[in-house]
Amino acid sequence: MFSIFRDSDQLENVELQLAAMLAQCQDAYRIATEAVFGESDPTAAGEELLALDREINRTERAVRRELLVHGTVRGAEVDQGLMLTYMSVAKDIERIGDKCKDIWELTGMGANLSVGDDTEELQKHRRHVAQLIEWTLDAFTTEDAQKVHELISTIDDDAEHYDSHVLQFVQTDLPSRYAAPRALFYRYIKRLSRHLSNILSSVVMPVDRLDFYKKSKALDLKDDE
Amino acid sequence: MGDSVEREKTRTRTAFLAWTETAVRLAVAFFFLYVFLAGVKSLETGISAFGSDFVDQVFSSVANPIAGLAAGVLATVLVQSSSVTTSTIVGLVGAGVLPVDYAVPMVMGANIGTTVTNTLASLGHVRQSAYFERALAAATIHDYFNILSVAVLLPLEIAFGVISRIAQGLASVFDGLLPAVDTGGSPIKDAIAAPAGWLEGFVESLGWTGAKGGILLALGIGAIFLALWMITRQMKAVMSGRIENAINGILAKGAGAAALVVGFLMTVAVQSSSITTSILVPLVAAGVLSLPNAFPVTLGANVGTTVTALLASIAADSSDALVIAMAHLTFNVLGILIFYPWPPMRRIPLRLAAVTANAAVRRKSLVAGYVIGLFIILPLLLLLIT
Repeated sequence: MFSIFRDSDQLENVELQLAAMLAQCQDAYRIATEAVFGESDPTAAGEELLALDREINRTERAVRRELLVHGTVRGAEVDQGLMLTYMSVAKDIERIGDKCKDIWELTGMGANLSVGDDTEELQKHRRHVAQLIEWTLDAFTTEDAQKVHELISTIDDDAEHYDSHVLQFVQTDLPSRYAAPRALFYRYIKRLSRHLSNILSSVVMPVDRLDFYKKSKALDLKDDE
Repeated sequence: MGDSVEREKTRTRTAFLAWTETAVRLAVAFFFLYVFLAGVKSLETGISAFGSDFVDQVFSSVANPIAGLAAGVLATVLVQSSSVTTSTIVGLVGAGVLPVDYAVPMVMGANIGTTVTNTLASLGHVRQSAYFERALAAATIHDYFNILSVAVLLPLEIAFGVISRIAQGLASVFDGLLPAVDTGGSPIKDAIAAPAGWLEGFVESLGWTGAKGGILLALGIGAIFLALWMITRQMKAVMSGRIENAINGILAKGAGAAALVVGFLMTVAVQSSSITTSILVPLVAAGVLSLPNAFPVTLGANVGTTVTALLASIAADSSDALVIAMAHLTFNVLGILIFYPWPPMRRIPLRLAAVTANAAVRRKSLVAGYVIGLFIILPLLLLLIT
């Protein structure tokens, strides 16, 4: 009841919630990879992960509601482009949470990525994606366009690399019990990185070209094609 | 480090600009509150200048309570603002043209008439059936609450003068508390009366004495319209963040009595129940706010809108103006006491709204029949018959 006496910038609240969701994804990724690399108990990790996922989903629904309330109360004054962008970002963040669950589910197939000749490389990619989530969070909250362009370019390069790994494990003669979890792991971190790329594109791309990144200036003076 | 200092500076500048904008908007709203009161005074002066023929005409046209009710509905549908209608009624009562017991049914009619705004707003959701069903239910819950309140309270008012008596008692309490309102000679009253006096003098100096009443009446109504529009506009801009906070609070924690207070405060702040109820319609349509949770906000808005008439009564000379403003408040509060606290009674308007919306989804032409029938044809027929 007393909330009517408190003024605040609702879009700023939404930005804070999106950043909080992304920070929760950081935790979810850490929990999921610890389990799949045999560093923690998969059952306990699963419970922790599900609780985090529920929290992420709850925040996503709250973001949607608050955007709807914002649009309804402000009417024509509302920044509709920004509202649609935030809806899209919330969806991408929620999908990152899903990818973390997918990674954790590999433990159900008996996967332990710490056993094998390629463990060092898998660990390198695991750390790199963790770093990407952190950089994305930072670039998104500070709206650092330069950093965004660099990160999207990195993610593009990574995607090709991960695809080649997926292909390698699909076509290998190694036992499927060994190859399948690795193919899936590379596939999942590629999808997860793509969602990070989509989030980053929200900082620099017009709303109709969200998720379809093309390097351009914020104010493009070229005629539309 | 440099970036964070720069961000902090930008934040401080933005906060200062926002504070300045709020201060300017509040000053503008305050000025238009004065224009509103001066408008009510001008309207009252204009009506007084019409003479006894006009008084007899008004008397005879709304002597029947059903006619008064129908006139209230039609006038509000026409001007799309119950605040304008009730302020005009306060002006008429204040000028001594309309007795309180004749004015009470008109105020009830204004309550019904104002609900057409969000019923029309709900039509914007007609493309998607599920959305439309929820939107129309959210809009018609307001209609049904007011219609049911009138159905119960109008006969009681006619038979026993229930509302008039309570309003009289409340007004006498406030009269005692605020003697300056009615005894005249207060600087506030003088300031409010001054523009009407200047206009009267100006019209007389032009030699248009015969048209004096009409000119002052038209200017008064014009000033009320403009002032309420401006106050609503400024206050909505100032209050948007707070309104969003309040609605997000209701969505997160449910409703109940707190939602009723929120609806009341929102409406008092923006001086328009239509703004409050029209915000609810899209939220219910989208499914984020349930109909039972939207209902108390609507009821709060109904009470909140009575503040306009109370403000208008400040400008009036007669203490009857305060009585009719109190009657507006009493009607809405009694309606809530009848149809909200006890769940079986609360379910009546909820169920009627749900049934209407469900029928309208299956046959969309029913909506046109409902709006035109309830808000135009029925009041016109009642006026003709009575």
